[in-house]
Amino acid sequence: MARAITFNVGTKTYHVDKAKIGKKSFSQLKKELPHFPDEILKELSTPDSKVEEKEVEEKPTKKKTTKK
Amino acid sequence: MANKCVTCSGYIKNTGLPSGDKPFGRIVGMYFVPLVADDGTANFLNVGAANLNTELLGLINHADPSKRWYPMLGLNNVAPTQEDAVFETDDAGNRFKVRDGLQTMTYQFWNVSHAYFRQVATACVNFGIVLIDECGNLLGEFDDANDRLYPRAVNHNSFNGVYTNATASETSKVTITFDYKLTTSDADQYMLGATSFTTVSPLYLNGMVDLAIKVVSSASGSVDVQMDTPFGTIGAPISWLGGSTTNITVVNHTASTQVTPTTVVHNGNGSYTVTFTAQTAADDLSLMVFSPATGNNEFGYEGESATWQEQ
Repeated sequence: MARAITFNVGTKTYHVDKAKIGKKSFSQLKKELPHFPDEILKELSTPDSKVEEKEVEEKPTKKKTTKK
Repeated sequence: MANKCVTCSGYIKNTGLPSGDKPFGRIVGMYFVPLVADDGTANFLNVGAANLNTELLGLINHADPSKRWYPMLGLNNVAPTQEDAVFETDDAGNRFKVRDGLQTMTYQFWNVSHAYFRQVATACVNFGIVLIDECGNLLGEFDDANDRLYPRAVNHNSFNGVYTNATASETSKVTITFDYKLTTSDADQYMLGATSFTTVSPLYLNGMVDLAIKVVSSASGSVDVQMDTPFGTIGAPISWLGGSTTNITVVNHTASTQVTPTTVVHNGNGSYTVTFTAQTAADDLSLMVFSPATGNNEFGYEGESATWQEQ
């Protein structure tokens, strides 16, 4: 079952499937969910954005290594 | 189920009556139950189930409409009537019983809208009813060998619904009448006690609510929709406010898959923005809602939009 997180901002209610969002930086989320307020995106993003970006960048490298 | 035509074994039945045998009470509600589901199986309540609470709740909110039990609650002026039995009389005046009299059920919903009338005015499938009394007891036909409570069959061709507008002295009313099938009998009805249910009560388990889902606009991996109930007035319908990622699904008809939304934003008044993993361009998609009730007094919701093509 989907894990929904709910945020209430003003008159709007935002439901997010955290599992589908995954670990992403604020800038990545901002790009994917432009209709979301920054305050929610800040909460959804992993605190240390540098680590996330590093993880994302490292994935292709790891795959290449595995193939070799 | 007993067969009323084969009840005589050559003796009169014993007539002792132990204390504590209570009759079924005043009828305040009933379940409409399709007699046979789309898969050809008969519909029943499994009285032998380990948890009758979830069993009944599951039937009322069943994902398959042909297996669902549809509650009619808050009935007024319930009047089960029975015509006289039919007799043939010989030239000396001796009467010979030919058949039981026709049994008719009449009841009303008071102070309800035309929108509700549209929901209950017709019954186009073969169905039966399980009655609910004021204590929450159920009454239906019982299969003792298999622990199954079946609905009492209705002659659905006799079903009639009438709307009466309010007057200076009376509220608006919906009056429903139908006949039981002549092959059914009160002698075959058995009571399932209200105490069989512990966490829910048949008196408070509401039926599901239809949703009209209109696609307002769409983009790749995103759709804006408006979700309203059939109730309210023109231009001001009663909207659904309970949409979330757990009860909304994007159906891909081209790929025959279902996609859980990534985010669901309720913008207010039933307007939603739903994002999901982008599908292949030109795939036919629709938005489906299935939100079952989880206990007393709650309403379940269901609906599906028309299809749109992924951008």
